[in-house]
Amino acid sequence: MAEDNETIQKILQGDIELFRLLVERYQKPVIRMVRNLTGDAASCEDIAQDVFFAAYRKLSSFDGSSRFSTWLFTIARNKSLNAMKKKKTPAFHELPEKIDRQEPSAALVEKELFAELENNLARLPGKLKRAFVLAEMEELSYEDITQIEGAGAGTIRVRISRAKEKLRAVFETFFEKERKL
Amino acid sequence: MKPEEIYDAWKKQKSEMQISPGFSERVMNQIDYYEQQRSARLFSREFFTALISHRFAKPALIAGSLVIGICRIIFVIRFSF
Repeated sequence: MAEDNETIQKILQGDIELFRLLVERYQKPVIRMVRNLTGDAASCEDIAQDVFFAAYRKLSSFDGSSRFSTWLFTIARNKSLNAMKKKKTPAFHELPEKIDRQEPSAALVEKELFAELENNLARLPGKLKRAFVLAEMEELSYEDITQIEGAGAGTIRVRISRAKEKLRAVFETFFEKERKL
Repeated sequence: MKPEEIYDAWKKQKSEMQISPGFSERVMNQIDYYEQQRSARLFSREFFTALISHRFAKPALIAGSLVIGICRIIFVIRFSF
């Protein structure tokens, strides 16, 4: 955190090239977060590029009251939401490759279940999906998620647990179906 | 496989990703272009036209001239006697 703040100070003093350090440090989590929130693997890098560019332009407004990563993830969250609104179609998460019925049954079951999970994650209400992605995929702390989402810790906890419940139901339904076959 | 194991495998699969090479270069190019445009705007004819046609341009010019004039008078009075 102190390292980021020091880098930011130097960038604001005119050493623009140092921004590359921040990009290289956070490109992976930002792109992954955008991909998981939008479900759009094709344009997640373009959106992430937009995130870093916006962060650069607004850098002087970063007051250091939160971590730089939290501030950056908030921009990423907002840009992802805007991108989804622009598309105006519900985000369908990338499905795993086509299921091959010749595959060994364990691998087949796994692939089918992954596809089910992806579909159900895409169908979750936005708030639940975002809380789930930030907590489970990005493994951010509750404190970070509350700042990014602008909601209380209790609300975030409820959202995550509801999302998990819904996804757990996918497992139950799936294995029930499998048993019947 | 247990459901927890499948869930963990799914999470692992979702956390894996390949970033196209040159991503940071693209971001930096965009920033460089933005900075170039910004400094070009600062010295462009349009910028000066906008500056002079601003509603505070005339009062600011008059006030500035007045301050310079007064300073000049003070300087002359103080150092010429």
